[in-house]
Amino acid sequence: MRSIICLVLLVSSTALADSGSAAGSGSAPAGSSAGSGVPSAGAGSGSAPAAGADTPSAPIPIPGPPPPVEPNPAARKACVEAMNGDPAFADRIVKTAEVQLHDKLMAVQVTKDVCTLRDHGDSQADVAKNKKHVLMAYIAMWLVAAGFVMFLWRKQQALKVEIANLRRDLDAATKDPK
Amino acid sequence: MSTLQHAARIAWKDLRIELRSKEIIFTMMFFGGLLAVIYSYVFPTNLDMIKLAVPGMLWVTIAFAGTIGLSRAFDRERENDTMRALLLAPIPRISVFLGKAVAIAVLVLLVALVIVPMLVLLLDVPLFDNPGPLLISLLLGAIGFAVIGSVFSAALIKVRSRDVLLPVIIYPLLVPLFMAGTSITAGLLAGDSEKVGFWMGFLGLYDAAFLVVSLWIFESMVIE
Amino acid sequence: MSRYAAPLFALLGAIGFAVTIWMIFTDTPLQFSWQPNERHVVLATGSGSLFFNQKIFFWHVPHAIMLFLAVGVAGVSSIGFLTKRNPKWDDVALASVEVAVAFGAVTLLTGMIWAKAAWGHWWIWEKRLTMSLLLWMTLVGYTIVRRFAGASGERIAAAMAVFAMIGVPFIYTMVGAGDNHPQAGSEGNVATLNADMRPAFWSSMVTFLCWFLALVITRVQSARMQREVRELREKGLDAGVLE
Repeated sequence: MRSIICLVLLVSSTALADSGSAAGSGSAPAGSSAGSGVPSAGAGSGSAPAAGADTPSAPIPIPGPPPPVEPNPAARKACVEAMNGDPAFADRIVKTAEVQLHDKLMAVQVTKDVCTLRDHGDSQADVAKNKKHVLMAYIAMWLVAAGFVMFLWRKQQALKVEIANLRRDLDAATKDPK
Repeated sequence: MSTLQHAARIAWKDLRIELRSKEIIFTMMFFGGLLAVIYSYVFPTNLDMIKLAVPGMLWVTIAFAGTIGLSRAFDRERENDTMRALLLAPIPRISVFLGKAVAIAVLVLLVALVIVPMLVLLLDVPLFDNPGPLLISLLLGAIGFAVIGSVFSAALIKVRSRDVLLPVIIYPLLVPLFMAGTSITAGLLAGDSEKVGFWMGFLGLYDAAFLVVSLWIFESMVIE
Repeated sequence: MSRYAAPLFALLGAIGFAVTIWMIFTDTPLQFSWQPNERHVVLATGSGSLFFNQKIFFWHVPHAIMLFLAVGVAGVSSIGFLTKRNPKWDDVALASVEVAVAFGAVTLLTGMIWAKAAWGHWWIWEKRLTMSLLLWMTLVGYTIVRRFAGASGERIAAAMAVFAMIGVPFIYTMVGAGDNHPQAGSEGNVATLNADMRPAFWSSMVTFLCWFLALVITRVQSARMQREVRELREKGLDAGVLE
């Protein structure tokens, strides 16, 4: 169960990681022109969480939903011009974008690591606390032992009865003629 | 005459009877051929697979055909109660045992020598690449089979359900032998000389141990 | 062999069992690494460690050793029977073979469960397993012969027991040839067992030795009773009581 949740988490977080390009171009009907633009530019431009249709329903503990890409040719053009005009502004924009991208990638990595660790822990606990087979072995041993003892006991009882009967018959037979 | 000469004489007697009637040899060989046909149907017959299956086929055929020969060889002694005559003869009991064992070993070896070419022909496996080691392993296998088989067949001669009991008794004791033989044949086919050497030694030791014990035990097995 | 011997050994076995179970589940370390060497890891889950499943070891191995001991006792007493012709030897042989069948069943069953836990399969056709199964089948064959072979069954069965005893060393020879059976150490002896596990192991050995002796003694007693029944029958036939 837990591994399934992990899997969902992992899938969703990786989907989020490249939603800048893939999800944006696929689902957003508004801007059909520059879906293939640099994702950092899109990420830097806005942070309004417009309900992305591509995120699965599972609860996501990783920081923040991704800013949806809303390519606006005019704004984009203005931004590019501003960046070209002022290198300091361009620097700031790129830095912000890098920090955001880094945070996002880190979130994915942490999710992966957590899942791996949980899987390891799960299987270790499974093996360490696996009482099923030990119990089975002990039960098997007891069943065989009990079966053998029963076999011995019944055999001895039957033999005792038979010996007693034979003795009695023999005694009776040897006494009669006298 | 020495013990061995007596044994040789008894073995020759058995083989001469067989040469006259050819009953055991023919039935064993026919049975072996039949098994080869069955195998070709049971196992996948492409060359790679068959190479893995052939060692087992060879030794299982020897085991089954050998059992037929074994029970027939001792049935002959039972029919006219000639086993009693043999045991009453003024020769060591060991000679009787050795003679019977040698005769059976020869029969089993003959059958094996017919089965090997048959498998080579029908299934196209290169068994003839190492004829020497193969022959030695077949010889050792036949000896082991004959030794263990003779002890118990002789003891079972008076038992009514002997045909059922013989496989029950001898197969568990013979399986290590056949496992060794199969491993040798497989090693020969794969060109694994280390494996062949180990199992050849195993086979030899197994034969030697069981031969020594059989020589001692036979006498107490046939006391009437 | 007094009549108190079997109950005494059974009592010792019961006490030993309690002590052993306490030791197994409290005093031995949980994780027992079979030294993840190349031989074991091939078939194991990959870790080379058995964790809790290793507790099966304390039952499995003593039972296997008792199986071999029983086969040895049966073989030696069969030799005694074949040379001395004294039925007392035959009683001991029959008793120890039947007990060996029981101990062998436990060995095989616990081994199978262990194999399921460690290797993921109930059975693997590996040499030692196959040979142990064969040894067990030989012993079952012994009981079949005793039952169905009539008067000469005793001798034939005795020869089987002797051959089975001769076969045991070969089981160990086969272990050398590319075997995957877990060994307690590189030489497969107890000396290389984890030091913390040795007390529990030896306690288990003593327990099952007592249990083995109790069973064999009881079985010998009933074999004697069987013999007595047979003699009484003959007497009865002579006296004309039975027909």
